[in-house]
Amino acid sequence: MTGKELSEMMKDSVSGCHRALVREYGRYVYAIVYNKLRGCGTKEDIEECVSDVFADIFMKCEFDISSENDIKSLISTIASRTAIDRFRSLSARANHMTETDEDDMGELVSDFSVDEHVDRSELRRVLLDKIDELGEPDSTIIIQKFYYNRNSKEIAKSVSMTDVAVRARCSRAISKLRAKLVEVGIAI
Amino acid sequence: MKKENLFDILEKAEDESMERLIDKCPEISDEELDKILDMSERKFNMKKRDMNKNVQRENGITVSGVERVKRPAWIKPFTMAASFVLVAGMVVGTVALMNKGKSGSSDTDKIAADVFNDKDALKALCSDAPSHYDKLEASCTISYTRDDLSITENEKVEYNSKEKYLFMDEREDHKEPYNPEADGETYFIHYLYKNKSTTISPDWNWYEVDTLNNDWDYDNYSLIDVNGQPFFDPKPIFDPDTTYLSSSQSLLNKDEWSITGTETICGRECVAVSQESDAYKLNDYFDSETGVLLKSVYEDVNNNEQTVFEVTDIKYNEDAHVTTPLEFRKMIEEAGYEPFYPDGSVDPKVACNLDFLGIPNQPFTTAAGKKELVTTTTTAAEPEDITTEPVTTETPSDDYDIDDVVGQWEYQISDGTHTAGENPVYNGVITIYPTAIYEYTDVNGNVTEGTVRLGYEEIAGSQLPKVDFYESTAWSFGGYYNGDEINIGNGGMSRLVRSNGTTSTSTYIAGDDAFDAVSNYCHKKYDWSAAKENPDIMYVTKGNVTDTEYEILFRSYTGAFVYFYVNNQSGNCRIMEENPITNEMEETGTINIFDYMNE
Repeated sequence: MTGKELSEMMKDSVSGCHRALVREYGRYVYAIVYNKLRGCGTKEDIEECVSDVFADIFMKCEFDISSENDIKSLISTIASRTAIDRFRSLSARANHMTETDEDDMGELVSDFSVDEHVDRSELRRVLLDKIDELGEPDSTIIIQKFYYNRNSKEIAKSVSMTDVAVRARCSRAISKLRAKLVEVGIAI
Repeated sequence: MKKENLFDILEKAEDESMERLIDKCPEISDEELDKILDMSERKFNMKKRDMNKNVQRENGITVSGVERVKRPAWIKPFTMAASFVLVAGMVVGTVALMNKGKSGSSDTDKIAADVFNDKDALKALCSDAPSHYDKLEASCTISYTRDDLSITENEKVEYNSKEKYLFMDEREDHKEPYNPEADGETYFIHYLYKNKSTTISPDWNWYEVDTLNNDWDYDNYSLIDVNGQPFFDPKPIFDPDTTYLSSSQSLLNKDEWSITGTETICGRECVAVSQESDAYKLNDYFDSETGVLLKSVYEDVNNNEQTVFEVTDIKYNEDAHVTTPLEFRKMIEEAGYEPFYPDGSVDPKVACNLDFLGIPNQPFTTAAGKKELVTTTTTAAEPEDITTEPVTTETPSDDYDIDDVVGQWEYQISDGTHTAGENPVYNGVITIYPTAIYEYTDVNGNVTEGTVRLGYEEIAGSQLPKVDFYESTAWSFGGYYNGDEINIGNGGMSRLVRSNGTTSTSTYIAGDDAFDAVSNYCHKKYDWSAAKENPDIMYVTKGNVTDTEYEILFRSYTGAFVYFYVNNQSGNCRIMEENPITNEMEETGTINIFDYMNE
């Protein structure tokens, strides 16, 4: 969607434009917000933040948006900033002493161990690479199960399998993932 | 620093990792997207209004008008949004009372007038509507329309608020102009009584019986509501503990809604309440005497949605017909609806046993058989005497009295294929006390009580001792007494058997026996030496009980739990443990507890 297309839709129907934005970018915004608030917010906090993001986007659409070429980038920026603001207020409420800048996270106390001190972003990339190596649908099952915290029934719908099959595949995929991570010095 | 697991490091991902996570993000349902849209629209409208106010202030323009209410809103088809605005001024009207046959007293007039002026009075009335009538019979319609969807429902509702049974007949017509394949009509009949919900599909010729969480819990109203809330008992609208209503359907804060006047609906004087916001308008009308919701009109400006609920006819008390439980059973049996159980794991005839609705003197259909019919002449409401097969019995003793039936009796029913005597299925316990009071504890642990009456029935020249069980003043069921057995009739489908160790023949396993057997198994299988010094770290304990299973838990010294699910008929036991990786429960084995009994 371009800014010009959005402007045209706004002329036809404001509510129609809003609906189209949510349908097109709802999942995208959700994923960005979830990534920021997963560790400190509830499901309701995340939903509230997503709706805050779209309210801001709707406000932007009230003004001339036709010059915006990359709506997705604009949405991504709004989503990240709004989520970070929400993270700060949730963290302050919970007296968290964490920083939003991941480079300052400090030493990890965790259930897993690494052979060497590895930059967090590098670790993230390695983990995602190993998960991708599992292939589909296992990589999707693993991410939706352990990152997005969906249950087997919900995952079953999205990968068109039974929940029993999802559980079985998940169990096998985790064993394979464990072996792959051990090869690169990460033990879980 | 908090402990984290491996996947926590995916949080606060940067661009490339973020794209990969977005790619695997679960799809968001249309319902959830609509919810997000509604929330976003509300926030957008508020931002815009605030912005306009600021602009006006800067230009020296006074902002006045109605203060909008901030509340989250989630609209689904057939729900009534119910946030309200403050309106200056009240409307006071004259009220014509229909005060259950009594002429209006000054107190009644005062109370009636109060509901038109006083929100607390109206709220009190509507939060206790069933106390203002004994019976209700109503017809109503619900229509939901928007550009791409039109749904119309016609309902017939009958409710006995004192005896607590509810009948609902609903027909729905669904139309989607842009998707004609989705068009269709459905027809269901529902009945709520005790803790059971029965549904009939006349089109498909089946019926199903579900056991509810508890008697008349408001969470279960969502099964039988006609409009997102039970119009005949609108208490959930005012109750913050009601979880199934969205926040916009609730009237939790009386400052957020207003009384706007009166209107006559179905000949009933109603209190009109109103709500208005940037996004929608709502008008509700409550019966000024009973608090029942008689009409509701909702319009969503942005989405061009409209929902109209309206009672088209209503009768109360003596004028109302309410289908009794036994009449409902008759409806099912005479129509020949087939019992249905979704997954086939239980015999449908057993799962859908209708005895909870009451047991007739004789079967409603010839298919039930003609053995051992029970007759009674104790109440005028019961059917006339019916001929029965003669039963040979001893001449009744002059000593037949309550002491003969005092004690505990096991209630056994048919398995659906055989009589209760041939292959009994456990259906609870009845305890009869010397004071002629009885208590019936069903398989779910629900207890009902009543009184017992003894008597004789003459059949073919013989006097047969009989036992009748009453709930309050209403006859519930009865049968012929025969020493250690009371045959309840209905073709041998049910009976009571004395359960103090003499003639109980059902295969039912008692909870304590199941527990002892599992405990024996655990003591054989696991090493209990760690518990010698600290018994609290390792134990066996009872869990939940269902119609068919006992849950028994074993705690290991490691803190892990093993769950045993014992079938109370066969003794087969599933062993379940939590997978430490996936955190899902998995079956790790089966045993039969009969192998571990009496050790």
